[in-house]
Amino acid sequence: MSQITFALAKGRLAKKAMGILKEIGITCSEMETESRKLLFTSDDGKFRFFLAKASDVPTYVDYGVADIGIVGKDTIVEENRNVYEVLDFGFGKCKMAVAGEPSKKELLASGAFIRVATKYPTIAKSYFEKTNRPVEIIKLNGSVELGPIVGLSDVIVDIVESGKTLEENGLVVLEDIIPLSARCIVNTASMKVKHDTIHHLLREMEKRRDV
Amino acid sequence: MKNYTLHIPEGVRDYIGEEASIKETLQNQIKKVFTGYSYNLIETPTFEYLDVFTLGENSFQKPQLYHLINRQGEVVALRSDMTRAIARVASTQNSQCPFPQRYAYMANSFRYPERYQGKLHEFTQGGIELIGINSIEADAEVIKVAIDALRAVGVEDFTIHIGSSQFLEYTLSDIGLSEKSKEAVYKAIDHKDAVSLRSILEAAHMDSETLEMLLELMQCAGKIELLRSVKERMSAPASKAALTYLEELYEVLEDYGASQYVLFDFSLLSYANYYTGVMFQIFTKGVGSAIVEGGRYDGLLQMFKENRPAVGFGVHIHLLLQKLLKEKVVPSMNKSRTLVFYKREARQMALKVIEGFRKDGLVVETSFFDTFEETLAYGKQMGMGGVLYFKEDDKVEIYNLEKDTMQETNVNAL
Repeated sequence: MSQITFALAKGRLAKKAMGILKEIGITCSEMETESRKLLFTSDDGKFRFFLAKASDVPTYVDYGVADIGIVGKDTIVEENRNVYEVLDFGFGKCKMAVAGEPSKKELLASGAFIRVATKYPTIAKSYFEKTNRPVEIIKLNGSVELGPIVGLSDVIVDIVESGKTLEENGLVVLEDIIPLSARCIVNTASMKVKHDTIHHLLREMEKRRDV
Repeated sequence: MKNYTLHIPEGVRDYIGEEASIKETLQNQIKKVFTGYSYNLIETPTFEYLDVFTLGENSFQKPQLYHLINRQGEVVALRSDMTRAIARVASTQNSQCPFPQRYAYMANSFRYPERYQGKLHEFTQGGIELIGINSIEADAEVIKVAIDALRAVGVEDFTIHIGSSQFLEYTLSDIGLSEKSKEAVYKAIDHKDAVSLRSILEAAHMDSETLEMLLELMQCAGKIELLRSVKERMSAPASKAALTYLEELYEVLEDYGASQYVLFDFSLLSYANYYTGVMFQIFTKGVGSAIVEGGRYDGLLQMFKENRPAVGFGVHIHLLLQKLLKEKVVPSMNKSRTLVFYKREARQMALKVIEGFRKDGLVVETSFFDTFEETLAYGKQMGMGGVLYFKEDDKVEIYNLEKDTMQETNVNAL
C-alpha cells in the first residue's frame, strides 16, 4: 500500500487535526516531541505529515506532493487551487466579513467608491465584484484593523471569530461574506489513484467531525 | 532594470538536450500509435480568429486566452485547444468528405491558467478526434488508443477512470431537482467543492434513500462489480440506460484485452459539463493530475453549423515526460556516441570512415579541437562512449571511455 502524505496548516488547526487522527488510530509520536524536523512519519509508517504555512497547504496538495491537506476555508477560497474540497471538519468556525466603524455602514450601502484593506485580496475583490461595487483593494499582511483606524482604508475584509479585536478597536461587522471552518482537501489524482485508502480515511474522519 | 534578454516570461520553458530528445522520441512513439489506427495527422494555425475558441461560451471575454489584435483590427487568439480547431476544419474544408473522419495531432496550445498558478501556459498535447460517429465501438476504440499510447512509451501503472455525463444529468432530473439547484450542483462540481454539494443535496428535499445513495456515490470509484451494483439500485430508466452503455463499453474493452485498466468513476466531482456522454481520465502514480483527458462532445460541431457527434482525448506530454524522467533510468544519449579526432594527414581517410559509420546509423561527432588531449578531455566530460584518433596513414587509436581502455588498430580493421 502506498503512503499517504498530509499537509497541515501550522498552529491550532494542526493540533486539532492530529487529535482527530489520533482518535482514528493514526499516531505520530515523532511529532509530539517538539523537534526541528519538518517531515514526520506515523508510528505505523503508513502516513507522513508536514506542517506548512496555511496559505501554502493548497499549493502542496495541488501539485500532489501532499495527498491530503487540512486547512481553513478562507485559505481554500483565497488560493483558488485545483483541489477537491471533501470534508467540513466543523471546528475552527468563524466567518469572513466586511468590518469598519459603524458610521461606514451608509457609505458601504451607497455604492460609492471605497477603499478596502485586507489580507485576502482575492476574496475581497470577488465579493465586491459580485455586489457590483467599485473598490480599491489594499493588501496588508497583518493587523488589518489598523487600516480604518489610521485612515488607510474605509473598511476591512477579514476573519471574524469572536469580534473582540474589532470591538476593542471601535469596529463592527458590517456585512458577512462567507462562513468558515477547517476543511479537508484532496489532490485530484490521489483521489483516484489512492482511492480506497483515502475514502476510508475520509469516512472515519467524518464520523468525528464537530457538527 | 531587469535584463530581459536573460529571462523567459512566466509560463513557458526550454527543453534542452536529453529532455528535448526524450520528448521528441515519446511524441513520435505516440504519433505512431495514432497513425496505426488510421488517424490522420493534422496541423492547424498557431493563431486564428478568437471566435473559434469562444463559440458557444457565455461570454466573449475569456481571460484564459492569449489574444491579440492583428493589423486589420481583427481579434485573433493563440490556439487554446486543438479540439476546437479540428471541429472547425471538419465543419468547413472537410465537411463534404466522407465520415467518420479521424484526426490526430501533436501540438502546442496556449492558455493563461485560470487557477493553476505557476503552471505552463504553453503546453504540448497529443491526441485524436473521431468525428461523425456515435457508437460504443467508437468510444471503445478511442479509449484503447489512449491506453496504447501510454503503453507505447513504457507507462504501465495507470488506471483509466470512466464515467458518463448523462448518468449525472438523468439522475439529477429524476430526483426532481429544480433548475436552480441543478445549476448550484454544477457550480459546486466546477469548484470541486463536495462540502457545498452535500449541503445542496441535503437541502433539496429528496427522500432519504436517494440522498444516501447520492452521498455515497459522491466519492465512488470501482471495478465493473460496482457499476453493476449501482445499476441494480438505480430506479430511473434513463440513468440505468447510461450505466448499461458503460457496461457494454466495458465488454468491448474486454475484447480488446484492455479492461484491467478500467475503473468506473461515479464521484460527482469528476464531471465536466462540456461532455455529452462517456468521459474518461487516466491517472498514474507520481503525477498530481490526469495525464489523459477525453470524452464524447456531441454538441461542439453543431456550433460550427455541422451537427455531428465526436469523441476524442488529449495526452499531456509534459506530465508524461516528467514522469518518465523521474522514474526511468534514461540512458545517457552521449554514451552511444563516438567522438572523432584526426590529424591533417589522415583527414581524407577519417572522413570516409565516419561517413560509413553514419550510414550504418551510428552517431559520430567530429572534434574541432586543436589537440587530441583536448578532444579526450571533452569526450570524458560529455560522457561519450568512445573516441577515435586517426593518427597518420592508416593507424587508428580506439578509446573506450566506459571501460577506460585503448587499443591501436589499422583503418582496414574498422
